Amino acid sequence: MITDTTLNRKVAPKLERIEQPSIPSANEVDLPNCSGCYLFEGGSEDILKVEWLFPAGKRFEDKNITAFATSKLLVEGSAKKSSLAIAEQLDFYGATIRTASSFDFAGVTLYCLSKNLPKVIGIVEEILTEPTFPEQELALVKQIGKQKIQFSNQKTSDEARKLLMQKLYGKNHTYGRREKPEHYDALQLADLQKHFAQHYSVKPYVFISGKNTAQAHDVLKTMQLNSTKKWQADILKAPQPSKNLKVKKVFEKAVQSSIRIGKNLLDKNDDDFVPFMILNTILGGYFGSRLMSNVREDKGYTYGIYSGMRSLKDGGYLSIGTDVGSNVTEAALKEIYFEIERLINEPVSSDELELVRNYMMGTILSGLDGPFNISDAFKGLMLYGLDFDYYKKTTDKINTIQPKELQDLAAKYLQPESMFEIIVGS
Amino acid sequence: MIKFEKFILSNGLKVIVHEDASTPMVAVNVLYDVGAKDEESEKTGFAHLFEHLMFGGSINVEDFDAPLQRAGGESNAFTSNDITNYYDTLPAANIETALWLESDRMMSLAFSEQSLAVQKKVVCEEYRENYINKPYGDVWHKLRNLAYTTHAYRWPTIGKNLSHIEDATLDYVKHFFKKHYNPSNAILVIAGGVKTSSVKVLVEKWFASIPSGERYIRSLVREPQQQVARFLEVSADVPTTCLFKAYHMAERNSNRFYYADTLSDVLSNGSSARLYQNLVKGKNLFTDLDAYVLGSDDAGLFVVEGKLGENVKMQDAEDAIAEELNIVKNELVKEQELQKVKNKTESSFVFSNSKLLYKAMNLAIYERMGDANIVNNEVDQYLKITAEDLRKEANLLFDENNCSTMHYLSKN
Repeated sequence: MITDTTLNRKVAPKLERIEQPSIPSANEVDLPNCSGCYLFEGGSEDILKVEWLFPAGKRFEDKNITAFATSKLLVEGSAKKSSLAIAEQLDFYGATIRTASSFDFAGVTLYCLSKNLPKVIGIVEEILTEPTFPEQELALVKQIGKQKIQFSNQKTSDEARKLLMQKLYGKNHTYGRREKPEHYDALQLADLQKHFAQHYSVKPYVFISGKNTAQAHDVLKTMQLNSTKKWQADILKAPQPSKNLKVKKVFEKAVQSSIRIGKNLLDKNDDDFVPFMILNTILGGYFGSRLMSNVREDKGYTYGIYSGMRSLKDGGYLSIGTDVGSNVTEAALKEIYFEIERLINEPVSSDELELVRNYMMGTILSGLDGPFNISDAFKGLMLYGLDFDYYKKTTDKINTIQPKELQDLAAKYLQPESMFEIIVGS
Repeated sequence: MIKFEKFILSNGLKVIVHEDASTPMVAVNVLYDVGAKDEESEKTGFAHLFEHLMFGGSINVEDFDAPLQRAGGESNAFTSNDITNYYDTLPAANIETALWLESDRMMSLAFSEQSLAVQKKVVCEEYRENYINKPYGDVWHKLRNLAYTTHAYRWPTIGKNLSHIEDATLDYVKHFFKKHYNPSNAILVIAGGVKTSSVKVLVEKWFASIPSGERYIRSLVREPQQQVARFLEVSADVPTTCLFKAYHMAERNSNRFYYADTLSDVLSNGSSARLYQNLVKGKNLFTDLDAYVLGSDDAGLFVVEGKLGENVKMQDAEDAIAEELNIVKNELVKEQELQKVKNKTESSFVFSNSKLLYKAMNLAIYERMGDANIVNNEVDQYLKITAEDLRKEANLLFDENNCSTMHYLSKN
């Protein structure tokens, strides 16, 4: 091997510390029949993403699966166009409409070349004002939905996730309720029509991102939406967590165990949320995290392990998850709790904290790179009553937090006896 | 239009730099021209296992990930049948950290017994998670093995079985590195908020002194032309019965690739496409039905796969697909429909260049095909296709004697 006399490869190049990533701002503009409209201009390609968001997610449904089915059927026919005609026109202009419903919201997202927005905007208008919800399309959604539940029921990881949600929020809470094939059977067109009439008549929030957003805003002004109702504050429903912390479910043929450990914990509005995110990153929030370093990179028990926080209207939660070989299930559990207790018992070293500071700044920088990302980031804040100041708070905290505060947070929130523990496997 | 500059170091490393002033980030992508097809038939899954070992420390740097994370970056990689691709994204200001790390592992790995032992276990868990513990996880093991009798595409990148991974030795790791991980077998792409002139200096600094090594000359056994229809029936504990049909198609660098790809779009790209409209919605025979091509270097596969609806007979499903394929064999695709498919292709090219990392990957992948600039003009290959090209291609492809059919039956 050639030895290089001028270059010392053992020494890392000098780093530039990112202390204050530039935080974008939301350009709020007027749009008729909307609760708010925001533009995010930028990017290197002439493309657009436009999103209409309604308070029409699962939490608003009277019957299981209604929110999902309503959102699915929106693009399947309007008073002016059949399902096929809608699909033909979108495909012809290389555009895509995605409809989605989550626990808290439902939305319609249009992706297209900037120049083609005027050609396809009429479709969004039609499906948001006069959707027809054809019977045969509902029949297909039911059949596909039932197959998906059957598929999901055979996966240990899906089962563990569903059991954790049930434990965290309770069987009767929207977030903890389990979907069953018979719920599909019970679904009627009238349920969808009612859900649509009640919840898609609320003035949506609209997010326009990409190239030529100002022109896109002009195009959107010509839309005639029926939405007239004010977006009301949510009626919150507290989680009803189970008393029983540990569950084991047997899947006889499984060659792995799916482990999920978690608890009801903090959402973005809590003061401890930002510092806890730093603690969570250390525990299991990135590839160099303690859980990944120990359970995967040192022991080889799993292909992956993570710890993550999720904010929802009715309260957030922490979830630690991994799929491990059946024969190392107990050993993996032991290591997970070992890492949790280490955070409670020992301060994080300044070297590790410095790495995590830099890593998190990098993820903020890339998470705000490009108009689509910025739009998503803003949406995730705005809908939970926050704005881009959150990033200022976050970066300040990342720059200043000390090991003692992290250790206190661990002691306050990560006591193992406060955690739900789900194991699904053989 | 993606502008870039290309240069080649004296050791053979090809370097492409794309400046994108709109981003504070940089993507560093290193493509090695080695994939699962370069494996020996009794050592399958090795290229992918090796990918894991590339993160286990190099000759001068104990740990790959930590210094990158310390620079605000992240890294990952993937292995296909044709290539192994590594990528880092980090704040552009810290680009030198990525070049330092990538150059060191290109120079030599640490070859640690510990890393090999752990990553063998990790990859075995990856195998269990995705290929055993999941319904339908073994579909591609079975389908590749049916469609290919001879070519190294007959096994998937994860490997034929767990024991091939468990049996890997450190000596073989060293051999594989020496054979494939040379600068002349790699393409380095740097894309993002950087200046080409300063990137050049840094690339020279970190990569120029890596010995060029021996150039690997690939000689793979060609797949012989299939003569008779092949059939496999599998019965497994899965929720729904599925049908797979795999037709041999042309290699990636042939015009026929574009014809086949466009045919798959006519049949199944977008919800207005024929298979979905006619067989999922119209006849309710399937709940999901897709046609797509495997764009592999060597002759690939045109695959039709569908999930059968409740109580649908396999024969009816088979007949309906045959009927749709007969239509494209016998009738010309109408002008409006062809234009729709072309527009969709054009749009997806634009969207695929909207993310920095994708741009970097695309540049590397096209450079390996012969010229990074194909990223800018490949769409023309699609736009000039005629309905007659598609009809001819359909007749070449859709012959039962060119097809491997798999019935994947639900026991439930």
